[in-house]
Amino acid sequence: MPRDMSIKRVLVIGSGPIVIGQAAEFDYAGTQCCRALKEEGLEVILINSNPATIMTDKDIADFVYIEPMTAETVRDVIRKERPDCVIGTLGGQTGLNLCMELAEDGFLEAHNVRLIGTGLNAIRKAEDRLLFKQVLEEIGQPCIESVVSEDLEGALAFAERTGYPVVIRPAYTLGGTGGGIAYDEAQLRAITSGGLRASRVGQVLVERCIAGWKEVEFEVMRDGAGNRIAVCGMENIDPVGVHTGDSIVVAPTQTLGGPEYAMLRKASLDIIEELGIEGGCNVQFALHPDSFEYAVIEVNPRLSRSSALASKAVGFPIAKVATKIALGYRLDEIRNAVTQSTYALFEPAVDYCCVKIPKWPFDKFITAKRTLGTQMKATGEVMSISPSFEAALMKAVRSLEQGLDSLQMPELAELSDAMLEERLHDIDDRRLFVLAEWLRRQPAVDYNQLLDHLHGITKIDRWFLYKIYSIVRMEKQLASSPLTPELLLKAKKLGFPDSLIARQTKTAASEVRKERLRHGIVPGYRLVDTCAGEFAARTPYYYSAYGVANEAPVQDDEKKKRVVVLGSGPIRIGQGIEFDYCSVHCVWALQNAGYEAIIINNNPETVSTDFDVADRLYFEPLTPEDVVSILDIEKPDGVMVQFGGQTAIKLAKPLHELGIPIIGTPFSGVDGAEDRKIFDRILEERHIDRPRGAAVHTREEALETARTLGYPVLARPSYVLGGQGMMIAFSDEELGEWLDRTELYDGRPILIDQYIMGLEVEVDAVCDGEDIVIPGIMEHLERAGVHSGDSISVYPPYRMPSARRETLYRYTRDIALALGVRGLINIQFILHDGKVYVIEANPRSSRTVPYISKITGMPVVDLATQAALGFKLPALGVQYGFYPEKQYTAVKMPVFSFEKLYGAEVSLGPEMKSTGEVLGIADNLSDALLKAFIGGGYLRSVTRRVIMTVNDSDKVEMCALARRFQTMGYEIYATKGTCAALRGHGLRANLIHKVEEEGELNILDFIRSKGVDLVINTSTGGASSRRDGYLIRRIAVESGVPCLTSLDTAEALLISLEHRSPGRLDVVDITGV
Amino acid sequence: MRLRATLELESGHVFEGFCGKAGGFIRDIVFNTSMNGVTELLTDPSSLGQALVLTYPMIGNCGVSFEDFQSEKPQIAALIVSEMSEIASNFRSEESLKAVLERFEIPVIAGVDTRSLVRLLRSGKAQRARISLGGAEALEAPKAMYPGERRSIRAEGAAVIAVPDTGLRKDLAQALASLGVSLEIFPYGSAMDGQFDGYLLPGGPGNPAEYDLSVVKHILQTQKPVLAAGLGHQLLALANGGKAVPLSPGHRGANIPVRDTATGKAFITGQNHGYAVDTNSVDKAKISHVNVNDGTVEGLRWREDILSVQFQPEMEMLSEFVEMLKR
Repeated sequence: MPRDMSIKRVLVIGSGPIVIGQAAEFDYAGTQCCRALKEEGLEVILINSNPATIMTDKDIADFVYIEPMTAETVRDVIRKERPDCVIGTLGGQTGLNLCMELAEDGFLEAHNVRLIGTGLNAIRKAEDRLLFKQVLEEIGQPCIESVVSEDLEGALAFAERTGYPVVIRPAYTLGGTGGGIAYDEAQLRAITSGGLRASRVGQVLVERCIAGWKEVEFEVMRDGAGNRIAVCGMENIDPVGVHTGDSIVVAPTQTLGGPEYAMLRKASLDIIEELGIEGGCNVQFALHPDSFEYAVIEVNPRLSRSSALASKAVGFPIAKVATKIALGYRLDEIRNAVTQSTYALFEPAVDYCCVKIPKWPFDKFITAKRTLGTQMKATGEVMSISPSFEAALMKAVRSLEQGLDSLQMPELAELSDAMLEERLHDIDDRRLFVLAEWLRRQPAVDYNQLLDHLHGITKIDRWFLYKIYSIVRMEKQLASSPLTPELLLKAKKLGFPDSLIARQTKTAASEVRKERLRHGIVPGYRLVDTCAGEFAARTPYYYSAYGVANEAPVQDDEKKKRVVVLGSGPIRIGQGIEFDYCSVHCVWALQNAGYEAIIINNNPETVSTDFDVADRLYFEPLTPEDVVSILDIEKPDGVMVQFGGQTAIKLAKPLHELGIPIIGTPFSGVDGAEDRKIFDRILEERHIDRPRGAAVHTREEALETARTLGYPVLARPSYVLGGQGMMIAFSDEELGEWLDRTELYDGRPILIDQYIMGLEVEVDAVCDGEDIVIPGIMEHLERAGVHSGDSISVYPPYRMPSARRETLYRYTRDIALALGVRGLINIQFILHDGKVYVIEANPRSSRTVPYISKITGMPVVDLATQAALGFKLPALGVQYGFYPEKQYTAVKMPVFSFEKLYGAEVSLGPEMKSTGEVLGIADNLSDALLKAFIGGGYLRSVTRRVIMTVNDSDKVEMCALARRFQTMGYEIYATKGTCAALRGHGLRANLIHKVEEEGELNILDFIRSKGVDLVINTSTGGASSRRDGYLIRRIAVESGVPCLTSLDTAEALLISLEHRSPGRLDVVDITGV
Repeated sequence: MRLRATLELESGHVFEGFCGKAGGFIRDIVFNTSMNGVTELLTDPSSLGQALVLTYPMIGNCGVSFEDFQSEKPQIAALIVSEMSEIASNFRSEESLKAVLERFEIPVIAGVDTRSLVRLLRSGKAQRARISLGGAEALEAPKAMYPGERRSIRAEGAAVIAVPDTGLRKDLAQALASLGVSLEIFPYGSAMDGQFDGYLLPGGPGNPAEYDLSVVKHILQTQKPVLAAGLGHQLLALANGGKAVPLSPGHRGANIPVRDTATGKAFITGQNHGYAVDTNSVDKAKISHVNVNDGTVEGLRWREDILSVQFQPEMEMLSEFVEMLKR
């Protein structure tokens, strides 16, 4: 069946902002989909509210709408663009749900829009718990004993009958939102009520608990003619009970015998046949570890995180093939993109294994519970490839960038044996390291006993446990035997980095490297080819291994210019998909400039690790050793470190020290921006102000400095990055309290800075060594103190006096030139009392680059790349100064995933907490804000009630806001103090009772019952009210009620509501802006 | 005991690894891309005499369950792997793969850069190889023909078929028995006395040209339904005047795509052979299946009641055969 020629204009629905459970993998899938459509000469219309994505580039789609992901917006886009069909299976659960909604209410049919790919019926059968159960029963596929319930009573009755524990899964949610395991009735009541609220259709599935079974996933595909393949089978190392997104996963399966594998593969293929999938599908199984008994856990009739992982793991572009299937092609008509000689109707065979480890945000959320369960908590993941499981595991661990180079976690070494034994029972992000530490402490006995003990507690398969043991055994061997070349090679084959070998043998890593090179112990780079070497492959996708032949071309062609681009590793809070956008654009810019671009990255979810992006892709950890080994082979003209976030820029130092040329801003510039003394001198010499401050070592010094500077002050330990542990203190008391909580280490100072409550603005600029161009100024809506990544950002500035533009320009240029920037720089300023202060400067790409590129139309990364290569901006047709300002206002709104992180503090501060962002774009500020609030999910208008509980110092300002809410028809609810203040100002306010107060209307119950549309809560002093505030905020996010913790945000919401224009909001095609 | 071993190819390439037992001759060195079902592969009669290179690097993780044996013992001449598992972890495991191979005195070389070896093997013609330990002399390669024996598999059902045993896999025999077909199995070439409703020409090792075709010709004369799979498919073609040509590399893996020319549908099959029927030599038959990747013949229809395929037939085809037997 060739392509369906009636298809001309296709609407692609993306997945919206990055949240836990729905991350960069959908940018990868969506981008691949759009490119596959364009390859066929089709017109592509794209909608996605996430401006940080690559798919929302005008190079990727023909018409791009960065608009709220609501049915209303999609309808508007369809009315305007008249597509003939829509693909909904590439935009995660968000895209799928939108498609379902529009298909079910007849809108698509009424507008002659066809749903292509997997159809409505198939989706419904897979998504609806009850229908799905019936389907499984019809084809004799076992599912877990369960009941679908729309109320608490049903759930209780089921548990009564089958016994506890039971698992609760809400229907139509992503990442297991609102689910959990209940061990008793109280837990069941709590989780079920939450789950019913979280579900789009108010349904939960309550099922028999099969925790401890093996969890196995299959990625399968089917075309319209009914041809089916299993692309990849994957096995979770963590048994059933931990969400697959939070599990360590290995591909292919390792502990399934031939018959079990064949049984589950066949079951997957039977299921997609029955459902009638046309595209990709994910099937999850629980397999009894001691029998052939299995059960289908769930089916995702769409592209998913697992399909992105599978695509990268076996080199099979599932999203691209799913798109071609949607266009009518059969699997045996689609070329295998890797071999170019075979077809997509083929089950990839691999000759290595891949290990995925999730990246969790617990370093950012110290109060969040680290236990892993059915609710996914990871923000991102890393993958590694190696012919040995041990090496793959070790590579993945060091790709995580958590300060560990191996399975040795120093904090665990301090635990007593008894405490460690206890920790074996905890299922959290540290389990892998706990297992290793436990094994490390055991005497040399028969390892089978050790494995049995650990298996008994964790139910992790003995084979995996043995592999951890094998790593620990090598650690010991290194510590006790002379380091012969044979032993060194053996350790490298197990994935040991030089740093670990050095630690075990009490020498320096540089010595280990010398020893290795002396004996020719260097990695070879093998090709990922989908066929285990059976056919010659052309795709340049490599991974390293020791003791194997090198297949990567050794570069000796002097004429061909080559640049290595360092990627940004796993998605985490503070370093998201934006940096993948920058890395990919850098690669394209290099290629356009006639260079070969080589990328190194380890994130399976991203576009940068798609094997047809760069000239060569190395799927490797981003550590100095791993990078240098690649550079030894590639011998590039230089390395690009400014586009891959902190991950890449922190490699500038080791690379510089090894004499490797860095393209663009030299290391001295990177260092100058980070070293407080150098940076202060640069500012001083140029008469640029910055908040005053000092580094102090004692409590007394800290308090004295704070008094001299004047409160408020910003206090932070100097030895952490990313705003961790920062606080803003308004008094001696608050600073003292913070000092009590913060350990004062010898020699590591505390930084106390003047905290200026001004207007925060941010610029990105491209510098060519002579002058700069600024794409635009972004103004932060919240006053300084909220991390820039968490504040609402507005382009162009709306409060900043335009006279400040020139100052910002001069400061930016002077700093960029002083640091020797060639490429990008991001500077944050505070405007206060007529003065402009510099808070910080980073000579690298920033979080705002994709956003500012899209709204100004300036190809920021492209220009920065060329400037880094030595081109001058005027020669590129760009004038120095400000890039022409656009007529549109664009608002970047942060999006959080607090509801997924039990216990995490919701209140915003100097530490970044958001996981993603949405854009609102319109020809005026209030509409842009409104779109952003809608897109971010902040706008509920059901009850038109708002709860306000604020800090004493905020009360006056709050009364003014309350008046405006009242004018807008909102009813105000407040606790005692706030209520009195409101009434004192002549406002109507309803009293609700505080957490511990007796009374009819308790604040927590009120929020839980969704009695309100909005909670405004600013944090207050005093331990008990702080705890109250924390509870209020937690209950709000857990109940799905928007919670604002800054009055500025609340005011912005008011602005957007007050000026709401009558009628619909116009959708804006940003390619035309 | 781990000894250094070398694997020497005819081409002169040498690979190093470790060996548990001294080896010698090897007939053909072949590679297989299956990631599962190693036990089945080693004991598949079609693997007889092969020095088998497994492309998947970690082997033996699940140990061995004797239930999975496709014949009475491992048939390979040697096993060449990247890593042999130290432990066997599976509820059905009765013995570790390492121990089984030691018990059957099959040399295993581990620690080999198997991918590099495969890259060599995929480009050249079929190669012979030898494994040596120190100065051990190479032995002469035996003729690779499976020595089947006379036995019967009785099933609940009326149909009885005869099987000239070139290398019948246990799973195929069991599948037919589960469909109510009894099997009378004879060593290949021996007289097949009795009344049969049809015949099965199973798979087997080696070059079809080395087999005596009179057995097949006799079966064709009976005008009874025939199911031929693997080597049997090639023998049937040769008996009809067709030719078989060597493949380089062979089709050995669990992921080989085949298209049914009648329905247009394609599916994934398991295969283990080094020869294919030459398309140009079988004008008399209808081509029922082709390989999606290289277009080679995967199935032929010589008569309405003959099913002849190069791959391991799935349940659907077996049922079709059983229907023919009933007619």
